[in-house]
Amino acid sequence: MIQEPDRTKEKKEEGLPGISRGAGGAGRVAGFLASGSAIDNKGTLLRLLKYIRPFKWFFITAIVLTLLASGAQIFIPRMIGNIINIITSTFQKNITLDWLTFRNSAIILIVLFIVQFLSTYFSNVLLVKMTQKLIRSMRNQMQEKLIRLTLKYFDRSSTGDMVSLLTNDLDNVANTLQTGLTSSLTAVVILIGVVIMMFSIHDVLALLAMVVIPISYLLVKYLVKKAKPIFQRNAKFTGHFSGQVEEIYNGEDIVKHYNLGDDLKAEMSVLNEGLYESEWKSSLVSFLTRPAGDLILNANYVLVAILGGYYVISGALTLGSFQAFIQYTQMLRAPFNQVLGILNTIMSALASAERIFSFLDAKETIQAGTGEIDISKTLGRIEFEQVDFGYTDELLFKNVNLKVNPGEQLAIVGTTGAGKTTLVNLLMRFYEINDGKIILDDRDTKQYHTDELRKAYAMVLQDTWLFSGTIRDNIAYGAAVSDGKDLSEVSLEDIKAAAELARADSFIERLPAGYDTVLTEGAANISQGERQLLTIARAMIKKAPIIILDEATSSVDTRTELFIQNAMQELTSNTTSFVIAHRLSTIHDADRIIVMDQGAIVEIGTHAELIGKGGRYAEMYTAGQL
Amino acid sequence: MLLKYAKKYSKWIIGQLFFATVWVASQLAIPRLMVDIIDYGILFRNMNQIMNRGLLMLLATGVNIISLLISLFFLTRVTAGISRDLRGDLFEKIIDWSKETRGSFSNSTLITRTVNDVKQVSILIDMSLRKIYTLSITVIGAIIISFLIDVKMAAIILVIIPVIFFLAVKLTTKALPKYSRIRKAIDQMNQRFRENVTGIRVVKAFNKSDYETNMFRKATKEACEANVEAESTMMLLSPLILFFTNILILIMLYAGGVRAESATITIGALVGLIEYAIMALNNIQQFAAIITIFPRSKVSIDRIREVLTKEEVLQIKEALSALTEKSTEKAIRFENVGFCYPPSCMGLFENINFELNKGEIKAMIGSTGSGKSTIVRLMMRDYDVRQGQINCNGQNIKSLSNEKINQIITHIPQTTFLFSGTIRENIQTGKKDATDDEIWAVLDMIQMGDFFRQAEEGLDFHIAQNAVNLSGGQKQRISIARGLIRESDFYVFDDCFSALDYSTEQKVRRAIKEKLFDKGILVIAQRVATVRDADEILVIDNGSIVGRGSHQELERICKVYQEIITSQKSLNEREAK
Repeated sequence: MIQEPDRTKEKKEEGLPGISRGAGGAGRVAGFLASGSAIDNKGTLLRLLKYIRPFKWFFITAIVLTLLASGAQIFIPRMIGNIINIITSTFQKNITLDWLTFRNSAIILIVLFIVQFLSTYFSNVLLVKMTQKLIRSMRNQMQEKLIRLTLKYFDRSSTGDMVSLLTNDLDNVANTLQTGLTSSLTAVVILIGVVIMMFSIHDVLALLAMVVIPISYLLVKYLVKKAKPIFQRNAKFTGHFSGQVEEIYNGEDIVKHYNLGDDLKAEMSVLNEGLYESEWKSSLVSFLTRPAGDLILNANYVLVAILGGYYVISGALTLGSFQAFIQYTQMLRAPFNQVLGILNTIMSALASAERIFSFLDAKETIQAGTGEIDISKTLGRIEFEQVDFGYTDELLFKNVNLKVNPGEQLAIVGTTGAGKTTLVNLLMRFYEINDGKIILDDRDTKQYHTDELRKAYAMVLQDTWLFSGTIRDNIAYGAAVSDGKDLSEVSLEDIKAAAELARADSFIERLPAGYDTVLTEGAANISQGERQLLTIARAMIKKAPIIILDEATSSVDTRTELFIQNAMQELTSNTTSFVIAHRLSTIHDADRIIVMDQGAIVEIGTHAELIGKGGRYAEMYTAGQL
Repeated sequence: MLLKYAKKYSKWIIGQLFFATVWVASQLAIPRLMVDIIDYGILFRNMNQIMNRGLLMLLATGVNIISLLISLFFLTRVTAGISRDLRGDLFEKIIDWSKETRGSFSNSTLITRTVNDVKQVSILIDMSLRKIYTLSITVIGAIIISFLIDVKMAAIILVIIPVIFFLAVKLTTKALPKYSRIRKAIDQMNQRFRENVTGIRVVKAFNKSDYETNMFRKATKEACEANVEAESTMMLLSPLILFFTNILILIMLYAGGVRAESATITIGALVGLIEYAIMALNNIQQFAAIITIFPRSKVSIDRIREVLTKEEVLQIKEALSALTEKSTEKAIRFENVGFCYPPSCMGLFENINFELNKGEIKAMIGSTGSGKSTIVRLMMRDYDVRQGQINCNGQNIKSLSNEKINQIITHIPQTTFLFSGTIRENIQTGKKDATDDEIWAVLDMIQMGDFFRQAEEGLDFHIAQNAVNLSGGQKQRISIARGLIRESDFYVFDDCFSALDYSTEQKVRRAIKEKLFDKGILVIAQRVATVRDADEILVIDNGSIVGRGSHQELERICKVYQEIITSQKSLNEREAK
């Protein structure tokens, strides 16, 4: 039962590029360092910088402040060195201290301290504000894009990948912008400043100190490359383990009732052991860069100490300069490690930004018209005129024609994949048809704004989506809400009336918190049948001239379904309705039944007519498929 | 709790701490040697001293690296080991729980606890052993060495350190609650976004694009403000500590200058002291940044503890077994059973009486939520009855182990769950040593033998995660086959024909009837056609049995049953006309 993780996922076209999740920070970094990534970094960076434009004064001020702070930081050791020189000469020559010079240096130092403190703090605060505002506008942009995207995009991208854009990728960009930006700037300025200072103190010593940089870079790069397979292995084990845990927890009933517990414990303990091995190895390896860096920096420190000591003795260096130099070598440590780290985070943030941009650039193919709709005057006559449509280049609908009269109740039957739900998708204009026309009353639906068009329909889908929130709000969701208001605008009476029509009232009232019961994510705290009743109530409250029910009552028992149908019929005697169903009991009362097969309408008629005809419908009927 | 887990690794932890101490000591030794280089080497122009101390420094560097490596080697084993033990214990605990004990824990929170929370704890252990420990002893070590160099100067450091420490802790504790505000805001925002993705059709269908955008904007605004608020506080920390460090250095320089005049301090000592002061304050700063991990980890630790300390509530009550002696009886009996779900007593029912004998087919029919599945749950002892008792083969089920109950009763659940893996492996979860012939036999019974014979892989046909490569009806049938291959006295089919078309259902039921002719069968369904052949049908409505008898009897006398028939059969009648 325990399998290798399935690696045969198809690459989806037009959807999101695959995102490596769970690989962990270290793994990610490893990937970027080891393999020169082939993305267009420059273009992405420029585009990202465009987002900074509205905040350019924030940004420029922050950069100026950062430069100031770094400058102060670079000069501080030099000034301290001066003071030490003063003290040294006092000590060596046994004279009284030159308090005047000391005082002057001290004053300069204090000014530097204050400058450093204030400019660091304020530049950080400015950057936090800027990045947070910037990230907020990117987030909003992503959500607006999401809402506008065509369903084709959703069909081809997994939920996890899309959500991960907002949670992982945008976070990644935000963190890099916020901390990466300042620390990389600081690091670079300090690095350069320190190098200049070092050379100004003593060039041979400075050269010696510089040698470190390429050596540790190469060392870290080598280690990271070596570490990559170990990280990947760990990521794979982690993913596999959680996958198995998830599956076993979900299969709770079978696990318990078929006495599988002991076997599974044994199997999982083997997996757990493997995970342990891969985990300690990968974390050991990820720590290794640290000792490697330390070794080189410490060795460097020692060499500087010995050689510097020699120069002081030979008079080529003052003791104060020597001390300053030692401090500079220490100062080198932090920015040096930072630059190494930041390079990786910047690469990874750019990759994230690139994914976000490709999402923001996805095509929105539906061209919305401008026509408005008056629901009170909508009759609900619908006509498909020579409609061609396909989800991919291959057409599913070829020349489909269909006329539906106002107030007619239409049932749609057919096997899975026959195109029943597609018909609904096209009515709602979730997808753009390739050719032909769909007419509502007397107008081509393309002439309406999509928002206006959808006002005419109330829809209940097979997939019972409810959001986490109260039952009350979930039903109210179907009602129209004016701009900027929230769902509390919808009156409780309306909500209760809709619930009654959907026969949801009795189960809701039996719940301890009634209409205020909070549904958890995925509405896992109520049954599938109850979820369907709520989605029906949500559609009922909309009072639209056309109703679409796509397997809306498949999980509701037939007796309750009959009650709902009766209620609906009273309500919707002059409503056009489309009902997709498997159950004979759901469809036999329809005015007409459409039989679909492979995207074509193969039969139309009443139940009796179709049985009499002895065609596809009669075949399904006798085969017991209804 | 963590201490208990750490105990097993005490040797490694001691090793880790020992080498970490060596690491810190060697790190601390380097500036101390620098003091000597200046005082004995440079000031006395003695190159030998410089070389000597330099070599010692080199040695310290070597020790430094080696001890760091060894301590990391121990450390990674400790953290990975404790994670492994926690994961294993959580997993074993959770799969042993009954439904009743599991209560309101959802699958997703249990998965989070087993995987993510353990990860968080391992980060905590890593931070405590690697960072917190070394940072603390570095600070202490730096102060001690400072005292050894010069007591008066060290006293200045000692005065200023508590001040800075206090400031750091104060700032951090002020920012921490703000971080939980960020977490909340971000969770809310992410949830909105996720729901927009999953519910895109509904959002579009009900014209809620603008509404959703508005709500999302509110969520991002909150996240933005929470972030700015918390970060602005934390941003003060590092510049502030740096500022104090600098002031401290200046004070030391001043004191050094004064004492240099009276020649009571050496230059090397002054330089060394400054370096130790920087080192101590630098470590305090890191320390302040790291302690934020504690409150975050506490949530995880609490959630793990909650699972590990939750004891199974359904105990086997041996005493009850003595009550009945008819242990040769082969029947399941419900006697005055009453039950409701904790905690708010939803789905209440009382006085359920019925019995299921071997060789008998019994059926239950009723609306969604009428309580049929709950009866099965009680029978399998997923929950304990609140009133009355359930007897299984003459013994109160409270006196039986779960293994025993599972051997007597085979439950084919309503929600079909299949493991990812081959069809063979899935069927074998019913009977571990089932041969291919036996598997083919049950597959034929569920009318899927030909399906798999035609498949290239045969019994190695791979079922994907969540069985997405099978239809609802196929899944149900495989789930039935997995139950049929088991050997037990009773079989409960909980609404597991619902996705089958009528003719297939009939064939499957006929095969079941043939194979299990001498067993007790309980069929739960919503379709009349599924239950009409049963020896006795129980009609369940709103948690009570509102009718019992054969199909013909119920058709005449039971109102609810009549309504069910009408809802399903109106067509046939119309045709008869």
